[in-house]
Amino acid sequence: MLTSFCSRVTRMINKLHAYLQLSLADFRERTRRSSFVVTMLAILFFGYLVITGKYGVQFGEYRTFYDAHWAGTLMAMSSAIMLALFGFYLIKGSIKRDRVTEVGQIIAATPMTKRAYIISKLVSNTMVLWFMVAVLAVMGFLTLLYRNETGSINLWAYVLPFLLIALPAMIFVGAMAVLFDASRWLRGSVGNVVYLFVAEMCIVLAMFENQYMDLGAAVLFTESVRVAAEAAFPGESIPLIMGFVMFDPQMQVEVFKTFVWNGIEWTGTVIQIRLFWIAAGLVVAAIAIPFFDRFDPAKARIKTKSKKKRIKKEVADTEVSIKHSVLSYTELVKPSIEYSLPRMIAAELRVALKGYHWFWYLVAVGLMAAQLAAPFEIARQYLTPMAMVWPLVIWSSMGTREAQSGTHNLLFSSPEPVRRQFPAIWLSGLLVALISIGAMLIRSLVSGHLSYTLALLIGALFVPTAALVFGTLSKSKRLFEVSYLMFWYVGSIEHLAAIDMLGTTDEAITAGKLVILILMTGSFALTAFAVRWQQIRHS
Amino acid sequence: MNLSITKLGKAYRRDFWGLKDFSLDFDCGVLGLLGPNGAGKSTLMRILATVTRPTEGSANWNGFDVVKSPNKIRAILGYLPQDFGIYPNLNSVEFLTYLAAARGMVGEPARKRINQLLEVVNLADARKRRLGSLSGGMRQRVGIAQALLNDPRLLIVDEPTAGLDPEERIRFRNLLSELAGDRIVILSSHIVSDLEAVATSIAIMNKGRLIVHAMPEELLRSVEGKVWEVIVASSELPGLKGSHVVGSTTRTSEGVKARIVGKQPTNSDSRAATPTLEDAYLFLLAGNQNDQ
Repeated sequence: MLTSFCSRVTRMINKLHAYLQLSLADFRERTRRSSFVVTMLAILFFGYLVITGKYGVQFGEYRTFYDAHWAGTLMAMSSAIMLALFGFYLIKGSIKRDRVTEVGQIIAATPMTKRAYIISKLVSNTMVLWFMVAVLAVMGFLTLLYRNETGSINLWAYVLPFLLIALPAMIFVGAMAVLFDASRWLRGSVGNVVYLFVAEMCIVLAMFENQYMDLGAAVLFTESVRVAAEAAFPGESIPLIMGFVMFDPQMQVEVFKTFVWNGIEWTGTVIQIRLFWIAAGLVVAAIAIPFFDRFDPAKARIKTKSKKKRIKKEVADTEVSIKHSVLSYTELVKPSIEYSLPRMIAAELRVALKGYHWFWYLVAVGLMAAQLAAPFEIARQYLTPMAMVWPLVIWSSMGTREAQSGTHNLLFSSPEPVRRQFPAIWLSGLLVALISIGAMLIRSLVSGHLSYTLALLIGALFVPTAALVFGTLSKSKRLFEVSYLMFWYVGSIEHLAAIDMLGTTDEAITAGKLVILILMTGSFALTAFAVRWQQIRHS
Repeated sequence: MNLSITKLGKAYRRDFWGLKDFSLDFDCGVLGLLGPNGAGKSTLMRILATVTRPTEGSANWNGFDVVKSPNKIRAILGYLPQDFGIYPNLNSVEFLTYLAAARGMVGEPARKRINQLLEVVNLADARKRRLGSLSGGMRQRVGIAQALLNDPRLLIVDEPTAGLDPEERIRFRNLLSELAGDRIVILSSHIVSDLEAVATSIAIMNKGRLIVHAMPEELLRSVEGKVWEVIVASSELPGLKGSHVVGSTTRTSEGVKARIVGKQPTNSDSRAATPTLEDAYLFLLAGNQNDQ
């Protein structure tokens, strides 16, 4: 009996050790990539925004003392929210990497179970996110040492919010990344858009006081501070600004009214809510297990009867194709060489537009029609922004497609790749943007909204150009997808005028901003061409 | 038509040269590159295909410097890299049309040539199939077709027979023989018999350096009287491999028949054998490794 128990324990320890080794290998692989340095620089920049008060929470002219409670909770909440939004995109793709590098084929031939693989990915995802949280925690603590306004620093008060806010949230985000990676439908650009909406939905639901949806504990934190402020200043209305407070004019306060806040009261219920996110993460990871195809390409294809038929036909075709051609090379038509930009653009468009589900094209056409049919303001504020995010997957491939598909050697050895092919990529992206919002451009022009027409035109020029430079620089779709989605959502959907590139409101259209966008478009285009030239020259 | 390579070198790190002091002159025909993994074959081909820039030295095509005038070379170049990607959602015709546009090929002649090339590489029946659904060998044939799109004067093919079945390998060899008359074809392969059949001359490389560049007959002459066959027991084979350069081995009822390449026979039972190109390759490679 004891022997059997011991051997079971040994087996379990061995299994856990194997999981840990897998996760560690994945963690090392990710953190040793040069792109991780860029990620960490972005994380440090975000930390800087938080500690300088440019991002976070502000209660108008009221503020609590800068102490361990405030510094710890603010940094823990801010990092949880930002990593829930951005971190997902940073860690997503680890299963895809195994697929692309074909390490997956080797893994698939080992005794590793789907469950073990998914767990190892969850652990490594979470480790990467925790590492980022840890960096921010250290950064916040160093600032606290310098700025502390109370006598001593309560280390536990500083650390506890990280343990109860950031860490559980990161487990959930890590699990979501695994689920999206494992699912065939969510692993691409569509998944990136879907996740943004899921994350935003959580934030909105949390604001409606659904405590269980409060992933970053933003409502828990702000309500706790507000209660303390109201107790200190009875009868006074305490305002709240959250997010990028640097853009808010109300931020400019000269004299603050200070009050004491003793941190979040970690009651049993509150702790239970925080632990809920760990459980939710585990459930999401469990859901991912059946979606994971264990790198079996056949599973990805055989889904419907019609596809099965098509595959059978393809096999038959292969059999038919084993017959000899009588055509000699010397009999072939001699090629005529005459470069044509329109033909190259058409070729690029064909590559860019091919391969989507019919539903994608239907929605694209529907959005074009809706921009004509809907009331002008509805079209301007919602439908045109939607039309400018729907081709995201096309734009994000610009400049990255050659590297992602491995066709760079073929294209870079073609004549004049920078002068011929690269402009065609850019112009085809621009054409997609213009077609997507063409109806609205004509409509606004006809109805005399000239400044809006100009803003929209500049936006349509700016977005694909940004995609081209981000894609060429990073050779990855993700940089553009993540940054554009964030700017698009906050600027054009939430109508934050300062970063609205599509002129969805009159406040968003200023001459200065349009000039800046034009200058940025020009410099982005020049940078993209210079980078591609360098890539070809120094590959 | 002439390709002249002078002291070409490519350093990947300060202390690691993928290619070093490579010099060679070649006129029309098929230049076969032979060498073990890491010999520098692909590096050389990437430089000649204008995909990579050399660290030192020069390569000239009919007087045009490959580095200084890459577009002159690209206009007459066909290149099949060892690893290349495809756009899985396009079919063969669409993919080739795309690459034809990148090479400035337009209109009906381009369309017709693409269809003919698909016939030449035996993919006519699969022309409308998504590339993502093709087998590795079929994709390789699409790669061969794209390399021939612009009727290149300089054709560089890196391990072109990888993934091809024996029938397709023979077909490709025949195609190369047909092409070689009025252009330069540079072909690398691990399979000596692929080169043996078509190469006008062979360059044997090792560790980034050229060991020898000679006609196949010259290479064969260099190992005349240096190839032996000996029958040993299976258990003796590892020992033999440790002390001699062993080529192919065949199991017989008396033991294992091994081909030994060396200046002296292994023992009195050794019998002189007719040399093959593979023997010459092994002999020169072993000699080079001993020198180092």
